[in-house]
Amino acid sequence: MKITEEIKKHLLFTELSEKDLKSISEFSSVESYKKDTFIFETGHTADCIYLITEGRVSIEMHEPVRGSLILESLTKGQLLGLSWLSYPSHWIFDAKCLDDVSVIKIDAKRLAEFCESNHEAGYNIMKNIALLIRDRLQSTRLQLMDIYATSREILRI
Amino acid sequence: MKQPNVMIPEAYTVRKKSKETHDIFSLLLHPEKDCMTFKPGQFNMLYLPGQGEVPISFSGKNGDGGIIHTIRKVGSVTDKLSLLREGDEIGIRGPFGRGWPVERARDRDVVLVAGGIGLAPLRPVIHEVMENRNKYNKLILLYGTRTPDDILFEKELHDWLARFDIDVILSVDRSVPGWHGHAGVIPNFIQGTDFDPKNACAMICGPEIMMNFSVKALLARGMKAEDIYISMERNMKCAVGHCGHCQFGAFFICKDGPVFSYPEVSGIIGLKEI
Repeated sequence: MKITEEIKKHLLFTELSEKDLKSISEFSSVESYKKDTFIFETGHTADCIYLITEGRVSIEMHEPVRGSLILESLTKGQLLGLSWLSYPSHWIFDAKCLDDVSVIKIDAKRLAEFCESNHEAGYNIMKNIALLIRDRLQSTRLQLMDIYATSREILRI
Repeated sequence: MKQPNVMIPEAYTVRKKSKETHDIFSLLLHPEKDCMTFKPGQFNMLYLPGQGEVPISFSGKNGDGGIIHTIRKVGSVTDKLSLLREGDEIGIRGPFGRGWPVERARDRDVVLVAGGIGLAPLRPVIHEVMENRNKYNKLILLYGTRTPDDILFEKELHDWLARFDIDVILSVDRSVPGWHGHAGVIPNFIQGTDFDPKNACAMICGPEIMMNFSVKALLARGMKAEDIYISMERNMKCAVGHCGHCQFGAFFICKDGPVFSYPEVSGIIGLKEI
């Protein structure tokens, strides 16, 4: 898999020049994970960003009474891991593979340095991250709305 | 030949009642007289004497002239319908309305997006495609529910998941311990689904908000608005466009719908005043 070609397809890196894409590919790698293994776990250092190229990943949180709960699942083409944005930081959820998974793993510290040193590309990347966060916020709001409830359930009658 | 009066219900007998979830059940109904033919997406008015009438979409049929309606307990009439037993009779008027564009979907990828009980009106489309599999390209079902306990037609879903000629993506808004499937709102999964947006026909049925977000995701994938169909729901009473209860802009949902192409309703869907 040619990393430059793969990251070029991702929403995160639209509007970037070939030179910028090549720079980012230098601190990116292709990784594979087996089904039921963790890509990262709560509390560990959040120092990477992942672009899923194959398989499904669940974002989970462990709660002592209920055990592990899947909050969201991500698939091919989606971005995994946003905790690195406040680098240095720690993961606040677990990321578990629901299938055999392939990702492009990008060094978050070096990506942040790249954005600092190249403001135009950095602005484009951050703008795209803002769009992804907007979409996740909208999805979370939909989940909170409980859209499948009947009017009777909403009004508690 | 004398035309039947669409305002007079015909008698149907409950042959089988199946519990689907804690608040959804299906009735297999057989006519006392002539068998009814319907198109996927159409609906009947189910009449319970002394209680009232409710519009319910077809969710299937059996080969013996029976029709299946899948019903959620949402009010007094549906509560009473849930108390019916095998052998009981109800009145039915129908079929009414414009159904799904199953003819137009031929030789294309068929993308079905269902939310909650919205799977029931889409189930006859799945049956139609499976019965005529060589006339359609890919068949994709994206189905979202509230929790794993709210999954409809669970046995049939398992059968579909085991087939190679249908892709099923099932997601719950709220997972529970032990759930190993997808979680998250169903429009999110449209982006990663493998179909040809230039040669697809999408049919969406579910809560209006979910349909709105699904349409946006399908348009973002490059689908043309005229290839996207949604099933609208309003308070239907007469079912023939006379009473005006289900007026939706310039349309009556019972007569002009319930299935609309997206361009027909894109200017009014989601408006508070409509």
